[in-house]
Amino acid sequence: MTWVAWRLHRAEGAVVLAVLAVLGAFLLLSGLPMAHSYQQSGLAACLAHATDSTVRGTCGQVGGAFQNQFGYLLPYAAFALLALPVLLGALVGAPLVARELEQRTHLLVWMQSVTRVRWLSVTVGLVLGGGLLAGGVALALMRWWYSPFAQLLGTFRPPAYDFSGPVLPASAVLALALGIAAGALTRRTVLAIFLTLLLVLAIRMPVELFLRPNFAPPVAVTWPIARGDNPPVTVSTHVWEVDSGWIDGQGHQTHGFRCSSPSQTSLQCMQADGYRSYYFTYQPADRFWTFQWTESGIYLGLSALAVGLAFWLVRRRVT
Amino acid sequence: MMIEFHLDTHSGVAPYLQIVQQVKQALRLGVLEVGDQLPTVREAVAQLAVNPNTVLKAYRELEHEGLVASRPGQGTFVQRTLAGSGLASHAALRRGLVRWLHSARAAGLEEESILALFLATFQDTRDEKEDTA
Amino acid sequence: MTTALQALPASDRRIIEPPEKGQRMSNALETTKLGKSYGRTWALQDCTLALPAGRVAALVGPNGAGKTTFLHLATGLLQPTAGSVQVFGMTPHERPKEVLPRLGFVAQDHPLYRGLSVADLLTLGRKMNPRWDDALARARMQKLGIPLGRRAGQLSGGQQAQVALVLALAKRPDLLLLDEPLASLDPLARREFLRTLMDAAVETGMTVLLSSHNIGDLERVCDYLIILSAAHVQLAGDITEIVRAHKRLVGPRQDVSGVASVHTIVESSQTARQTTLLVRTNGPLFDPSWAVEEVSLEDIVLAYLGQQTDARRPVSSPAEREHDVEEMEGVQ
Repeated sequence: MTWVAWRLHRAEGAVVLAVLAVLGAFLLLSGLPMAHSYQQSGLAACLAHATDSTVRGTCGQVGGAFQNQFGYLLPYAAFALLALPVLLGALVGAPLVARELEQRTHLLVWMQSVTRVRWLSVTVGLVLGGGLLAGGVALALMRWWYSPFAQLLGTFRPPAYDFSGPVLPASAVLALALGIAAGALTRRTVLAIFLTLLLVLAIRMPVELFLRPNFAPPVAVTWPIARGDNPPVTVSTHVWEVDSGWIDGQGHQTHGFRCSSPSQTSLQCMQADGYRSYYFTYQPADRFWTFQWTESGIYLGLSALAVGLAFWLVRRRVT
Repeated sequence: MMIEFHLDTHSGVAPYLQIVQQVKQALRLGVLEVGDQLPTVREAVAQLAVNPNTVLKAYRELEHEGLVASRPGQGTFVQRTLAGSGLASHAALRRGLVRWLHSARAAGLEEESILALFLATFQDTRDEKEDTA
Repeated sequence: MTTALQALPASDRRIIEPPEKGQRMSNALETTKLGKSYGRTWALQDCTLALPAGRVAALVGPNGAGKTTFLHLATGLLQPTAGSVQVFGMTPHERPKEVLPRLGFVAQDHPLYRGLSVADLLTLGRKMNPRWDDALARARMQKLGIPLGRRAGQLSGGQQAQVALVLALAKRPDLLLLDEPLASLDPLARREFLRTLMDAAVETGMTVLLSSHNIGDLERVCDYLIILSAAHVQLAGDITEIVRAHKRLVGPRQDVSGVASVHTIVESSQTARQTTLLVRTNGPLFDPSWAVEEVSLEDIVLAYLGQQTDARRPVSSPAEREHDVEEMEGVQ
């Protein structure tokens, strides 16, 4: 049965391998010069010796220059690493059961001597295992590629969070599991693909926007306006900023202010309008791994539910 | 293989009877002689794409008429030819038939009625024969 | 007017067993009041039959009669809504591990993995079936002239049907089910398909059940008949017995209650002067006012399906026929 599962899906496996190869090539081509520059510019040495308090000071300029030079790559990397799991789920997971039913080959393969449950177990196991592996490989590649920025900015802030820990392979598994369930539900490949995209978005966006910031209560600091808009040096650059802004005269948090008289400086404006301090809420850097495993756990739990649904559908319903 | 069978599905004649007739024809023409082996059931089935029971039924019928004999494990072989069984050897049967025909006409039956009666009785007795076989 | 028998009362829908079969044969397939509904529509209802082992059976009925549903229930692909189905005494949906190895299935339009080569398909069979006979499969492919390296999607329709059949045969099933296997094949391909099927049937003695909407295709290979129409089993039995028991009675226009009291009238039609009946005899026919004729299997099947192929009768609606009768009586 294992041979059969592999043979029927080896084309998808080849494509995933090719995509990983392309990704690897891209990362290598852009990452090697980046790593080289990181060493040559002295940024590496500086950050190695720096405590948090000096990062913004002595290393700040070199760091700034580095970010200016290579920062443009980050959105591409972010997009690729968010899109790949979704595509995996939609293009590998969704057709898994749906295509079998649509092309009626289930009437051939389910009438051999292997039960439907065993067929699905082996197939799902192979595909999810493959997805986990692909996600792991991508993770390793990304962590190597991103390491200069990781030293500079940490991995907690977006987009690094999504490709620096177990969340990456877990999201790949989630997308695959949702695709498989969508395929078993809709029994039509194209419909399943759209449903998968919808489901992945419907799960990941709320988790990312609403749950993730609150896995643990964020830490808040405030400081008077006069000290400038940078957070105090006790706050490391590797933290994840959740929210920031001003505290107005009534003690409310706001995200903007209007300068009523254009002739004054911003500081004078703020003081005139009663704004007293800045606030900054964040998640400390040492919570990174806890957050990663929590989120991965959520994705893997949902994957298990999706796979369970697929099994139930395959066992009970057939055309 | 000595002979080949063929089947005419639209002839109205039952398939197994067609096989019986073809064997008899082969015997009359001398294509089959005593000692020749008939196609095995498997060969005949492969030739005709027909239900195996059809072939078995035909061979049973031929065996019943004494024309062939099946030897277990070896096949079905011709035992007797049809040449030489002239109508003369059935003179007694012929006379009985003539007497019956006279009676039927005397009873007022028309030709087609006689034929219908004969065919119906023939069919019924053949079915009876099958029941007791 | 023609009264065709749409649904015989259950007591009349007897299974015609050949009288000489004294001993009890085990049944390859047994259904008891089997029914399947989708929402409020019943695809099958109250189906009871027993198919003895070793038979080659035809499952005949019009499109939409429930043949595919019946076969899918027998294979365990579907679960019954009512009643039960048993294959060799076991329920297929509940005990797939025991039933599947003994069951072979060729679905409608013989689906295959088009991207796989024939050799790959054989490997698939070998990996998924403990009772797989690889030598047999390869020998048959060779005899049929089907190249093992070719992709299934590149084979002709007839070749694909043969590949699907060989895949099912190489499992060495005890019961082989085929859903309209001849429908998409040209006459030569049909003959070749049946040739392979019958050869395997002789070799193994397996039970075969083929469905079709046309009995003509299956007459030469089948010795058992099941007629399915309007979601019900109309008739089930040995073909020789069915043909022997059904007769056409033609006679002057008369009251048929005499006949109806002894035999079962399947179809009747009347003109101004003549009555024609298709009956299932339950005893000898003595009445001299009827001319008795044999009936072809095709006509028997069509009678149970509610139509008639008799060329003497122009096909017309009951209203038209009433009009004809009135006209003729007026002319008199």
